[in-house]
Amino acid sequence: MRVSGTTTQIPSSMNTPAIPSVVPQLSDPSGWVDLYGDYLYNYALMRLKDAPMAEDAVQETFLAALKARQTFAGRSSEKTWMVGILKHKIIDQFRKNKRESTYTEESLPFEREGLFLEDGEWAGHWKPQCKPTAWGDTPLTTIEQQEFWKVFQHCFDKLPDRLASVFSLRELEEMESADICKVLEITETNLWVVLHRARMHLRRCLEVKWLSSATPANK
Amino acid sequence: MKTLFTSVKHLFVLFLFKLVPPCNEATMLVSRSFDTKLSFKERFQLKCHLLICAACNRFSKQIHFLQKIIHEHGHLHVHTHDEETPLRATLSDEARKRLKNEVSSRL
Repeated sequence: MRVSGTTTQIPSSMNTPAIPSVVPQLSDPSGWVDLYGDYLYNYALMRLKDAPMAEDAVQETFLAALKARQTFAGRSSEKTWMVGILKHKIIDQFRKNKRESTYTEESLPFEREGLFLEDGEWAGHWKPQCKPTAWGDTPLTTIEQQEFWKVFQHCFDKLPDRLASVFSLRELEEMESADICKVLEITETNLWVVLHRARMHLRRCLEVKWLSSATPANK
Repeated sequence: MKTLFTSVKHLFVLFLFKLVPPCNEATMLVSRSFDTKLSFKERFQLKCHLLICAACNRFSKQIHFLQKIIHEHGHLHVHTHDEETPLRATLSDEARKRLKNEVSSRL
């Protein structure tokens, strides 16, 4: 409602001489490190899981922001604008780093546990003790959500780096599969396997760590 | 009589499950359906499996739930941190100094 009110007022103000304050202004770059440094570093660290790489990404973000200062259109807040730049820098880091990724990785807890029967007439089906338990249908309350993210963070940290990076590109940045394959130079089949492992791990980890203890009433 | 009934039932259920891919393949299909379009055959197989398998049905619902909550709220808790949540890590003093020098040297 309020939006339509302001839009109708715009034409009248456009006739008056331009007000300088309308021009989007960035804050003084010398304050950027204190304002956004930690925030951007956290964002990068979450994805890259490597402190020097995260620092590099933040540094490159600030330098790119300095260069692109004039192009800042003010469509988003300064912070959002910087996060937008950082996202590209993180992808660059992934691209640089891909040579180090190997496909032979340590197995995940759910894989060591073995969720599925290996032989017998039911081979390939869930082990009775590993069948997914009921999670309840009610939406999460705010407190449950806080608890959920705490456990999620814990489970996410347990993912090996490469799985975590693929998962965050896919599910957090919501990048298309084909683009991720290009950036990380992996085949699509490989991508599916990696994402499947990450999802299986997260689901099992959440089930064991969070739901079993937090919501006994749902069982 | 009862044992005969249970063994017939067991055989019938086993027969049904032989018609569809096993659970480990079905879970892979559920996961893959998020990343690509499954072929008609795969979709059909998955549907049939989910019809008769309560465990995988639950699995599928949970994976969808996870996907949904991550897409809806993930940015608040995972990528970015809102003001109330304390940051998990901060820049080291050394890194902060280096960054400030880099920025000010280019002003």
